[in-house]
Amino acid sequence: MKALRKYYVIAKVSFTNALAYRASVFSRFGFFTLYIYVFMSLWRAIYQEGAVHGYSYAQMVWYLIMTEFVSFFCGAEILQKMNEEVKSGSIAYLLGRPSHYIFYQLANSLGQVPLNFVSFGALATVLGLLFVGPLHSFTPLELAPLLLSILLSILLNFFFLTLIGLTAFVLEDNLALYLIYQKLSFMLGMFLPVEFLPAWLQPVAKNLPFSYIYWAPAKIFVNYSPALCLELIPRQAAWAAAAAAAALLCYQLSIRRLQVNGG
Amino acid sequence: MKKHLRIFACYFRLNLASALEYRASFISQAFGMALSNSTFLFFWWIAFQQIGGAIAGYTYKDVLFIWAVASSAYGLSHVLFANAANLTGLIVTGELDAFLLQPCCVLVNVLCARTILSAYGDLFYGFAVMLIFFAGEPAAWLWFLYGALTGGVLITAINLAAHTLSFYWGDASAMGRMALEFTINFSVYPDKIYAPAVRALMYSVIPAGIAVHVPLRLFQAFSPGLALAALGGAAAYCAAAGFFFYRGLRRYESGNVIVTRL
Amino acid sequence: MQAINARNLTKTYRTRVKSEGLGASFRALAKPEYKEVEAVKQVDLSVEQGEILAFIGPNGAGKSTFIKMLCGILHPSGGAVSVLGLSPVNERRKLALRIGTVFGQKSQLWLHLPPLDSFTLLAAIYEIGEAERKRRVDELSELFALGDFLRTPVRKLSLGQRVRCEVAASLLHEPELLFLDEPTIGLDVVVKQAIRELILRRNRERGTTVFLTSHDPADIEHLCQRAVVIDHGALVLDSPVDKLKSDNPGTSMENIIAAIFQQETGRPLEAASDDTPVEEAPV
Repeated sequence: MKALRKYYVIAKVSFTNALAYRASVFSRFGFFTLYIYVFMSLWRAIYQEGAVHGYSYAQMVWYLIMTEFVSFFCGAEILQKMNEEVKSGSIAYLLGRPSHYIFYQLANSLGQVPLNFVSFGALATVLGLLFVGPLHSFTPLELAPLLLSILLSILLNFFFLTLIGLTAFVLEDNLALYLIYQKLSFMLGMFLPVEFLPAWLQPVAKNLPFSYIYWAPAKIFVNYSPALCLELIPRQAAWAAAAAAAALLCYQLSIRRLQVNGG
Repeated sequence: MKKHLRIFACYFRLNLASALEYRASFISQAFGMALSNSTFLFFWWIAFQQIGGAIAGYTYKDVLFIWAVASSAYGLSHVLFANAANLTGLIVTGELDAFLLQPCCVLVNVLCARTILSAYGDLFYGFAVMLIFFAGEPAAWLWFLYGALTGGVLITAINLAAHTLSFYWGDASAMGRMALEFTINFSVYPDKIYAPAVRALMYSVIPAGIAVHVPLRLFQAFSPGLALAALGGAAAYCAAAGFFFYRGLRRYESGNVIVTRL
Repeated sequence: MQAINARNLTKTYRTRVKSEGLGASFRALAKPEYKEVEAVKQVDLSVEQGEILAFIGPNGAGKSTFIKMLCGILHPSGGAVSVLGLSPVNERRKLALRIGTVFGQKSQLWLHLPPLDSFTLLAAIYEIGEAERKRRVDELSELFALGDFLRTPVRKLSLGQRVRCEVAASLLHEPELLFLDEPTIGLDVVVKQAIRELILRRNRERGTTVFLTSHDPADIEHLCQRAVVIDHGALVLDSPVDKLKSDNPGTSMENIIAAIFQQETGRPLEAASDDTPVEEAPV
């Protein structure tokens, strides 16, 4: 219990910290609105040319609002921070602390979620209602599985970023790696539902982890059915667990190397 | 003039030499950026597979062309004049002092002093797209080069104008990032997808339209009137951004307002 | 001829006063409140060409505001100033060609490149021709014993080597007036002494005027002919160093200045006065 409480406090401090950065929250509102507007405009133009695969225009816009919403929790700040801490060697000092480095970072990231969730949730809802009206298929029933799916997305993304961050131990520069990861998750879910991909690519995407960051929660959101949740959420959980295990393992290995070879 | 060309060339050489000190970073960042850009063409390829023909009046080839121009223009601006996007930092920390202590044009001195590694990837990506899809079309190359050059200068001017606000507001870095994000989003999608009011914006305050979409129009159907108007508009915008910067600089030089938190 | 001539030089900042909190931020947006702060108060100072002058004061005393006015970075709010016969504000670029600066931690050298590359850039900025640049670099290299450092990336140099290159860089255009801000901070005693000798030599051989701010009493004792102490934007002492020494035989320079400061202001020199404004670059 005591151990849990420690991470609760870290999360709380981070939450207060997030409050203090209200100004930056406002500018992020601006970016969020801009992206939604651009995507909405783009897809309106595409829908004007003809019907698209299984998603109505309103569903498509809500889908994009959801992926964008999730992406605003999945900041690359953690990656930047890890890169700095590894490169400057300050990670060695953090090891001396009585908290696990990765869980410390996780608590830090999760601490920022509640405030962002409420503020961006409100903004996203307003934008969706304004641009395309209510999403008729939405039922309060899907709220619980949807929240779970979003949480799993955040975790999955967090552990992927941690893995990329750990490469700073061996690579001079890992920006390219991050860009590749980012674009894979964009193209296999954030910009496009997996159903839009060419037939040969769809099974590939469904068997890779990247689609489970954006596609899974957004698809559950606009196309809810219990069967769909049962199909997607366990896969999300499995990938998140796998990513977490991989991140922890790599972390242990890097640390051992650090302790043996020195910074 | 000759002196400032020498300074410009010298900065370019030093920036490149600095980048080459970290060869692995340089190559992986440039390559990563080019790869990252190409995923967007994948997106468009899928969209056109679904719809076929044209989206908002642009064919797939048109989209390839604006991507090439936008990417190279952005790359050029951030290879040669990356400090424009860093201006807020210089103003807020007072690092601008160092540039003011030197006997040359402040704008040239500041703008050229920094480069961004990944921007080389953007710059070459545009050329790669042109080589693959427009190899045998000299007219396309002409307007691509025209767009990359005017666009590179215009994007710098947009960055400059937005960050110059820091002379007045204290910290306009959010404004600067916003302006750049608008520029990119206005550059890489067909301009007709936007509402008329927004389109007016992209031919005035944030003239990404002049940088990217006008070259496409000129490539499709050359019109001397449009070419001259675009060049005139670009020149006027750059002059205005420069003028705005020097007005702001006067506030910095005479700086009689400092913000303290009590 | 006078290198620096300031008469009644004054700088007033308008400080925006803002209390903490979101509400206060909005109120400040609608109706900002200002407070006037005098960072430099009617200072009279003339420096002859060829002099080496120490400019001393606690943090926030108005030192850097004063120097920035001399360099043309800040516009004075009142009074008149001429540097090398030029008006810093109206003839900034002309003046910049003739003055050199080493400002604290701010480097003129490119971290990842050898100093030689930075010298090439400085030559372009200061309008020095190719042949002339080579001649001057050779001369400075010999004088400062730079040798191989010139071809080593700056990040791989020791602090002492770096400072020598830094001072050499600021001398490349052969300035008539040199502003040095804490040039020996963080250096060991041997290197400190070497830097001081270089500055002295430059002064003797070329008559370079040196305007030095330092917290190190040894800098003042070994280098300077004259000491000026500023506090709360006003001069509290202006005296030849020799006179200070002969008036207080057997006392170290550190103690002499500290005693005079205490006597003039009623406060010890070390403790920076809290009520003076932060001297950040105006925004």
